[in-house]
Formats: sequence, structure tokens, C-alpha cells
Amino acid sequence: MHPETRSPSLKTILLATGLILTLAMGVRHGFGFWLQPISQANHWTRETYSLAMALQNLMWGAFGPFAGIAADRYGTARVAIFGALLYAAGLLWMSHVAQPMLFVIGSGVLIGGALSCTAFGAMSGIIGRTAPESKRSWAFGISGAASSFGQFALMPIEQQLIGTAGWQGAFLILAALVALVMIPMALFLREPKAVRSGPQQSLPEAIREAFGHKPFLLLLAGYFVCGFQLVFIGVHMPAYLKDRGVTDPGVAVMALALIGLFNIFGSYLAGRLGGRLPKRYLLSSIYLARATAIALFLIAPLSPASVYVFAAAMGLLWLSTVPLTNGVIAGIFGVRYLSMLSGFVFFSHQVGSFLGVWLGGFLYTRQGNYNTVWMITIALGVFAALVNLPINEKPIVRAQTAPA
Amino acid sequence: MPVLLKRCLWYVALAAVLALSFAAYLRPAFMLDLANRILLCA
Repeated sequence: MHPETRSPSLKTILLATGLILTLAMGVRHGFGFWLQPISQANHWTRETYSLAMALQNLMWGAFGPFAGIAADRYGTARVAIFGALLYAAGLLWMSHVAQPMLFVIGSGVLIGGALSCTAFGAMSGIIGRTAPESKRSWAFGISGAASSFGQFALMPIEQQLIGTAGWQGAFLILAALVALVMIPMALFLREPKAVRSGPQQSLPEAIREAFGHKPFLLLLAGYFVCGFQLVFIGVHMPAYLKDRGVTDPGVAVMALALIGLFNIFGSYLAGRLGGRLPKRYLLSSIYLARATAIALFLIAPLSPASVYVFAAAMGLLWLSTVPLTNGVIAGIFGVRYLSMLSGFVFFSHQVGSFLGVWLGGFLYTRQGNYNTVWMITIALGVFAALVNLPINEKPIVRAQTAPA
Repeated sequence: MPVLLKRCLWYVALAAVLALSFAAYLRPAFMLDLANRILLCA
């Protein structure tokens, strides 16, 4: 790939990363629709496919820092192309491999790796470098909204695809779509080397600096809570509603649609507000608002209306932490290693996600209800609101290094 | 094209896409499929 001599414009970057993010986040969001047909066709229990999904999420988090390092060092374009190829390969793998362990490991590694190369963490570096500081948070908001839009819009499309082309055909069509859209879009993400090089700081120095800086650790803690809350609610909410007597699954479907729709507005709004107000206060408010919304939802009499109001409120707060968290990182550490640092905080998010979904099931099995996990979710929200408050958003002051 | 008109058209297009996507969730076939999935998880 020939290096670019001119930086791409912000509009180009937002459009190209927006399309990549829409597909990256959207395609994986609909994977649940394959659970039944793929398990039936391959004579699996539900556990096999669920394990593959869990592994994908863990691998996404684990590969995140490495994809970030690659994006910061070799350029977002190369990493996005590699990610698109992995994505297409993962979808082809899922359509053809019937041996359970091969399916789990292959799809986990391929799709997890693909997501780490094409989702927000890997894209954040180039967005942060291209947008002027005054527009950076807004630009992150646009990208967050694109990710949210993908999750919202692609679910019905994927369901329709399975209905018309069959589950294997749907995988093949999506593989082609991913390759045909992501790779050309990635070509717009070529940056001149000078833009990527930035201030003189080695990779180990950047990692040591971040992990030795208290605000970064506080962001890691906050993002862990974000993952815990969202995945617990996303996965266990339908079961909770059923337990509490809301037996009409249409209510849960409508709740999912509302979360998806309001998530788009929430992500954009958070990014926009992040350019005007201190991000730490916005993050703190989001976590506190989540804790309050959950507490009110549990206290209020349960009805379809209360579920819809809760879903809309949680939708607004769903991915709104993403542009703000990445904005704080860019503000403190600069944009040179932004993708890598985003990868590290996202790993913390994914560990939280894993614990949220697992602890929900674990405690439910032992106690027969979700009361304790809901309490933990509220307490974690208050904790995250408190840890975000003291974050110092000022750029870190580095000692001048002598030129080599 | 005046900037204001262009912006309005953008908003209308965006609103139309979001409304269509939301309507897709309300299709009976989709509702049934997602509801089955939810029941399976529950």
C-alpha cells in the first residue's frame, strides 16, 4: 500500500470509519438469530453457539490493545483491511464448520480479532488525529452514533436475510458485504507517516505512562462498570421481565428497539456535549443516571410502560460513555497511541461484560432471583460515578527527551 | 443549495432511515423471531 502524502479530510474519515463501524458493530449484533437454525442444523446444544459468542467477546477485548498498537504503528487502513478479511473469514467459517470445538475456537478468534481491528478502539486513533481538538469529541460522538446505528439497523436486516437466503446463505452474503464495503472504505484511511509519528515516545513508555497515571486507572474502572451493566441488562432483562410476570415477549422486543433507537441519539449527544463540558462530569452523570434509572425501574410498579421508559432512558445512556472515555484519553495522553490506549480500556469493558453476564446467571441459579445482581449493578453505577469525578483531564506533562 | 435547506434534507433523510429501521422491528415476522429468541434465552 502506497503511503499517502496528504491527510484525509475529517468528513472523509468520518464517512469511511462510520461505514466500517456500522457494519462491524451491526453484523455481530444480530448473531443471536443464528442460535436456533445453526444449532438445529449441526445437532448442537445451545451451549456450543453460546460459548462461541462468549469467546468472541473475550477475544475482542483481549486482541484490542494489540490491534490498537498495530493501528498506531502501521496505520488504521492496513489494520481495517486485515480486520475486514478476518471478519469475512470468520463468517465463512461459521457458515461451514460443523465440528463444535473448531467452530467455537475458529469463530471466536476470527470474529473477535476482526472486531478488535474494525470497531471503535482501532478507529479512534485516526479520528482523534484528524479532528481538530475543538471538534474531537463531536467526531467521536458521530462515530459512536454510527456504531449504535449499525446495531439498531442491521438486526432486522439479518433476520430477513436468514429468512430469504437461509442461515448459511445469510453468512455468505454478510461476508461478501463486509469485504466489499470495509476494504474500499479502509483505503480512505491512509495517513501520511508524519501524522502518525507524533511526539517522541516509545510504545513501552506510553504503556508505562498510562498505567502509572491515576486518571487512566480510574477510566479503566469506570469502563469495567459500563461493560458489566450493559451486558447484564442486555442478556438478563428478558428473563427478569418473564419472572416478574411480563410474559408478552413483544414488550421485550419493543424495549430492545427503543434501546437501539435512543442509543444513537445518546452517543451523538454525549460526544457533542463532551466538546463543551468537562467530560469527567458527563461520565459521572451518565453512571449516576444509570444507577438512578435502574433503581427507579426496580421500585416502580412493573408494566409495559415502565419497561419502555426504562429502555429509552438506558438507550440514551447505553454507548454514550464511549465518545467521552476516548475523548478523555485523547485529551490527557494525546492521539499518538490513542488506538492502543482505547484497546486497553476496552479490554476492561469486556472483562466487566463477561462478569456481568456470568454473575447474573450464577447468582440467579443460587438465589432464584436477580435482586442481588441488580443491587450490585446500582452500587457499581454509584462507584463509577464517584471514580470519574476526580479525573484530571489536563494533558500530561512529559519531560523533554533529547533528540537521538 | 442553501446550507439551511441542505441541513433540513439531511435531517429528513436521517429521520426517514431511523423510522424505517424502527418500523422493521414492528414487523410481525421479526417480532415473532426475536420473541422466540428471547424465550429461548429466558
